[in-house]
Formats: sequence, structure tokens, C-alpha cells
Amino acid sequence: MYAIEATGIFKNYGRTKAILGLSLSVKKGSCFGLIGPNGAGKTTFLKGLLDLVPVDAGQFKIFSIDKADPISRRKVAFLSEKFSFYPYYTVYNTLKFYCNFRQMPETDYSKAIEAAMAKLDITALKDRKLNQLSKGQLQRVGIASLFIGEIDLFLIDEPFYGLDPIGIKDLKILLASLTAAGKTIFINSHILSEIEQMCDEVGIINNGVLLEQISISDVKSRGGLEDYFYNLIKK
Amino acid sequence: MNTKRIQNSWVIAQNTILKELRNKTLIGLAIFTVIIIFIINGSLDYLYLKTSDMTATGGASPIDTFFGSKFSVFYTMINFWNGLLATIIGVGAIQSDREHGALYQILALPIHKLDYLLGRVVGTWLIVVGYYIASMLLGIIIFALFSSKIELDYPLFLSFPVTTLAIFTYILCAMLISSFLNRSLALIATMFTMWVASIANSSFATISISEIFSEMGMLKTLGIIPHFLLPRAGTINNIASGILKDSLPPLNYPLEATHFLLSTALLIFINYKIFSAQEK
Repeated sequence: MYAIEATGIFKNYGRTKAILGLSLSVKKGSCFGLIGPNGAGKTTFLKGLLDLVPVDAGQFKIFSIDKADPISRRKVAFLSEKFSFYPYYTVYNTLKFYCNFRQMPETDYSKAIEAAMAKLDITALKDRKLNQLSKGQLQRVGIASLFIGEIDLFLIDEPFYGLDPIGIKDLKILLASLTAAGKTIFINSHILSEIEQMCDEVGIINNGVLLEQISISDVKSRGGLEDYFYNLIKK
Repeated sequence: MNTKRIQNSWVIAQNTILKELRNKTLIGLAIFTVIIIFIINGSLDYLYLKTSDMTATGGASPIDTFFGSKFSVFYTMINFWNGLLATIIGVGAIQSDREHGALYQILALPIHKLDYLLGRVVGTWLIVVGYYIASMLLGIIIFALFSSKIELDYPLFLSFPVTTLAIFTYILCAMLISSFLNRSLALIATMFTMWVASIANSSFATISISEIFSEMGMLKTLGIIPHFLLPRAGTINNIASGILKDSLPPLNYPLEATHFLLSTALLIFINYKIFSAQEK
């Protein structure tokens, strides 16, 4: 079964062609990396998948449910490149806001929030407002929001943005634990070394076209992701 | 709409209230309202004093003749402020989510776009209605303190729910216009639209359809469009004012009610379609 299925996606921004007939599928329980240069169409793909931007043609499915149905996002968590929320919300209230939309009774909110904060080591920031946090701390709050509720698919856009080396390592450990637990992870990134280390499969996108969908083991046998990516893009 | 969808909308409505309670414009307007109430009270007392020779000879004060009562002047002012407030909050309700970068985060959650939109509309409506109640009560208290008369009778309670319908209309129009323009331009455009619509509502309210469409000119066409397509906020305000003055305007009320329901549904539908088709 596939966690994500995209078939013949086209998306234009005015005269700019952002995505050109892109089709890809991500197996349930895998860690998939979508890589490409800046402006390749990675974020547009993710926004289209989440129904945040309308696409011109094609179909997106999440766990076999059409993306237009909000139920398709019931077990999906999304983190944008720069996590941003209401600056006057405290860390606790931000996470509580997420609880409201997850399938959990209100009595479990506090427990879920405490657990998510503990995972990201931000319990001490609980009562701080978001505008009092550093870029890295804010990104940690965003990552903590991924752990609210029962999530099966994690969609993460440039997950290492703003994180210090400790934060990056923490996140890698967390993502590895999710993969081990059978969760599906979809990462948009251009940090190839991290993708190569964490993912099972990658999709290489350039100018809105998916150039290749290939397993990491195949990439490694061909000299590693960096060279493979470089040669493919430059071809 | 199932329970979960209603819950989702309610969470968004609560979030709107929390958001707007921190809105500096709202706080500024609240302070300004207090000042306005005192100014109206003082100015009207002064005018009553100036025209006391007329009332002493048994005639009615020109203020009472023109406005109905001192409280009616205040009521008209408060209605104007509430229209303005509904427009200000309405144009910012979704725009502020974009500015804070929260819109992505919220819509990536399992929430229907219509539920999000309705949550924002209801939340905005509740906060403006809350402001309306607070300013009314404040006005009543201040007037009571200065004139030893409490203006708290049943027409006020009847006109209140009617006025809240006009507030709802202002919010929906402001949200629609803010889909295309930035906050400042949307505010001006909404106020202009509602002003044109109010004039058209008052002008066309008591004349027949054939009369409305006779001798068409540019200005008339400009008025006809909002009069037929938008909920008639001007008519609603006239009804509310009529209730307070105990002189209801002669209207076809079932027809007006049907028009209000249909045009409101249409406005919600258009808002939803445009919001869904937009890049978030």
C-alpha cells in the first residue's frame, strides 16, 4: 500500500511552470526524500499534496484517499520550512491548538503535549510565547507539533532549517525512531548527506520534472547521492 | 455537518476571538468609543439646553423631531462604529493568518476549508457582537448617570438581534474583498461597497421592481448590483432603527428575509470557492 500517490501533476504559477506531469508514489513505512535544486518544485509538490495550493491537473492520494477530502490528512503531520504560528501563543497553547484537530479526547491533551515537549527537550519553554523564542527553538516547537496525536505520515519541508548541530542530531534520532516504528516520512530537502543517511528512497526533481525515483541502495552502489544528483541535474 | 466539523469550526472561532482580543485596533476603537459616548452625551445635553426655549413652549426639541431621541443618536453612532469594526476585523481575519504564516499550518490539519472559513466568520461576528453589547451597556450607564433615565426597554432588545445580522453581512463582504486586496485597500473598498449598498437599500427598499429598473443610469446600475446580490445591511439597519423608534419601514418582510438568507448563502459560497481556489 502507498502512503502517497501522485499521478500526472501539473501546476503553473501564471506563466511559470512549477510542476510538469509529475507522478510518484511513496510506500507506506518508508522514508522518502524529494531532492532538487532551489525552485525545482519540491515545496509546490508538498503544498499540492496537502491541498494548500490548487493544482492544474493530476491527482494526489494520501493513504488511497483523495487529497481534497480532509480525512486524508487525519493521520498526517506537516512541518513547513520555517515553522511559524501566532507570536503571542505560548509553546503549550500552540501544541494544544494541534491537539484540537487530532483524534484524541480532551483529557489526553496535557499528556500528549508534555510528551511532545519532552521529546524535543522544550519542556522548560512551555510558558514562553513564540515571539520570545530563537529560530532554532521555534523550529523545535514545530517539530514537537508533529508528535501530537497518532500520526502515520510525516511531511517535512527542509527539516534541518534553523537547527544547531545538536538539534539536527536529535531530529535524526527522532526520525529514525519513527521509521523503525513503521511510520512513513516524506522529506523535502537539498541537504543530500542527511537524505542519504536517513532515507530508503529518493525522488530527484528539477524544473518541475521528476528525473528519477531510485532507492538509496542503488544510489550508493553508483557512487553516492551527491555525485549521482550532480550528474543527473547537470546532464 | 458532523460533530467533529462543528468542533473544528468552534476551535477556529475561539482562536479568532483570542486573536482579536490582542488586536491593537480593537483596543483603540474601544477607548475611542468611550470618548465618543461622552462627546455625544455632552453635545446632546448642550443642544437640548440651547433648544430649551422651544420645548418650554410645548414644542418638541429639534433633536427629538429629527432623531427620535437622544439615545437614537447614540444608537446610530454605535451602529456605525460596529459596521466599521466588523469591516476592520473582517478584512484581517484571514489576512493575519497569512501574515503570521499560520494558514499553512492550520489548513494542513484535517480541517475542511469551509469549516475554517465559517469558524473565522463566527469568531469575528461574536467579537463584534460582544463589543456591540459592551458599548451599548456603557452608553446606557453613562446616559443613565447624566439623565437619571435608564434607556433599557424592549425595543432595544428587539433591535439588537436584527443589527447583528447587518454585522454578519459586513464581515462576509470584508472577507470576500480581502481575498483580492491588501488590508488597507480592502478596508476602503469594503466601506465604499457597503456605503453604496446602504444608499441603494434605502433608495430601493420601498419601490417596486419595475420602478427600480426604469430609467437606468450608471449610478443606478452601481446601486442595483449590491442591492440584489448582497445581503441588505442598509435595510437591516433601517429595520433595527425602526424597531427602536417604533415605526417600522413599510417592507415586504417575508421577501426581505428570503433575500437575506439566499444572498448570505451565496456570499458564503463565493467566499469559500475563492478561498479554495487561492494559493494559501
